[in-house]
Amino acid sequence: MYEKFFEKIKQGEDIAGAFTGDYQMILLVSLGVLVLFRFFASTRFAMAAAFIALLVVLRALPLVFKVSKEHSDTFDSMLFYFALTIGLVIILLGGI
Amino acid sequence: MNYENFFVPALLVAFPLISAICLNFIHGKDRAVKGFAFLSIIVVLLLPWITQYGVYWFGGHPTVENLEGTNIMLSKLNLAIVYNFGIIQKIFIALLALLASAAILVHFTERVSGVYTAMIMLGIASASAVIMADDVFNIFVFLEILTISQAALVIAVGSVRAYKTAIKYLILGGVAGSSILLGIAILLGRYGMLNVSDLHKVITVESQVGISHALIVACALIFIGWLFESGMVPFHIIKSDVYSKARPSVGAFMQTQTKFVLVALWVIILRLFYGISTFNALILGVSILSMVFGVIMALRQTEFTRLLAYVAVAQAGLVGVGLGIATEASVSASVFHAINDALAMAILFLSASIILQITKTMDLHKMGGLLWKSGLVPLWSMLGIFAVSCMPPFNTYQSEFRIISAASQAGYPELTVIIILTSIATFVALIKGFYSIYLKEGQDYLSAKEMDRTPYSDRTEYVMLLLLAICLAIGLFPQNILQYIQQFVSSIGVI
Repeated sequence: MYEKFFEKIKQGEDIAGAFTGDYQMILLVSLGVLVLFRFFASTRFAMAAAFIALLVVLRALPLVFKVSKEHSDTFDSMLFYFALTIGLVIILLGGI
Repeated sequence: MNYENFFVPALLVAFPLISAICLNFIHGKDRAVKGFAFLSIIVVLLLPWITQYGVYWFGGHPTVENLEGTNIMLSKLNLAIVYNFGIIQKIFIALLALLASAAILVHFTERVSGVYTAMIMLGIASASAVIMADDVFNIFVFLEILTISQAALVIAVGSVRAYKTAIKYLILGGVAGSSILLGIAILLGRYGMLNVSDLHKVITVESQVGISHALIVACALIFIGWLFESGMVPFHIIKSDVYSKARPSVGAFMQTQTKFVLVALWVIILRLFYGISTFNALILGVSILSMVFGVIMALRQTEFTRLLAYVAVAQAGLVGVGLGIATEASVSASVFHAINDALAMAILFLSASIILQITKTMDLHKMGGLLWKSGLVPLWSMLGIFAVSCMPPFNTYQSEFRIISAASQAGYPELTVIIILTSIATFVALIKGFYSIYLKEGQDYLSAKEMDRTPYSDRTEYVMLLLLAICLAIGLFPQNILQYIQQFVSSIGVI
């Protein structure tokens, strides 16, 4: 992780912002999993799932650069996520 | 003549529309445009305060008949337009008018364009119609006009990057608009009506038997439209791009439009589709993602307006979180936060407008050293940052605190942690921008005579001060607005 951040510093990236962003990502994933599993399973199972999610996220750090890459202003990326969302929304609302 | 009956809610839409047409006609005659735009501003600012409350019908809507097999009275199919105008609609439209007027006043410092001011007027008319309308087709039409006016305001900047953004926005807006229209077509085909109150009654009766697949598909399609209009994931990228490519003063107006349309459209969707079990969970999910991704991307920006745009997206996500929790307390807090955040974000967008006048750039790497060269603007900007970051005694603190309390009471303690950390990250992102603009060394863009104090438009600073005063007043006396919001939320009837 240190090496990855050091590489980004050499490229002139803002590391303070990236660190804060990564903390947000860790929280989003672990607490998101906790909420989801708490509703669809037991609290104990949710805590275990959140802990596993936390380990997976920590292993995958830094995530913020990957998130930034996916947030490109290119039209094809926007259309891809648009199409993905339509499908997900219909499935999640129970239309299929 | 009875003047009380003259000021009907329809005038809030009709006047800015007529004004936009006239401004287009006189485009090129600078003095005439300036005079007419100034008069229009005065009328638009006054109208919400003198318009009478109530329901306004175009085209004799209340023709009723019994729903077959029941004793429910319903309107016959007609394309009548119904506007509801209450205190919340008044607050929304008055704030829109205030920020639109600020954008026009800032524009007066440049060469005045009739088309540009017309597009701002069109923006007021369309957002006002969406806020008041009780008719799904009318809402669709005005959402389309809103998209076009926003794209036109981006095009008016005149750079290649702005053109690209506007085209992308128009294409995505076209697809999202078609999605809404298809959803409306399904509703019309199945129930034979367009009025939201009527549809609500029929769908409530039908839901007792079960939710049909047609209703779910209609919900999904209209929900996609809501995502686009609210700038939620996955449309947060294009929405932030649009805010940042427009002039900052117009960006302040646009983010206000988005937040109010978010709430207004959510009320409509909720009244129609509240019976679908996963509906609120979906709203909550996309709102959390918008909030977190918005603030993460704000932290990564090197352009000040894009940073503000992503913060605006994150705050819209926070509004959505309260709506998704869907308790009376959380929805009241969310509607309150939509008003509060629109005001607070506008302060920062207007500060960006002043910075742009001085530096001619929004690139944070190229700015610096403005602390002692731009009067009291840094002080107002810092107070604006406190307001956006939900610090006491500002208004956003009152609303965010209530969202957090409501989340906790509704059984989502995890959400409270995410919201608090989002606020901290928002503060970090904004302070990063503040440091780059005011505290960092380097002011090569200033000429020798500008080194002591740089020229900028005072009127933008006055508007910032006015907004700060409103933020502080609401923060100190929140109940004065909150009581009306609570009444409004109770009147929705399905929470």
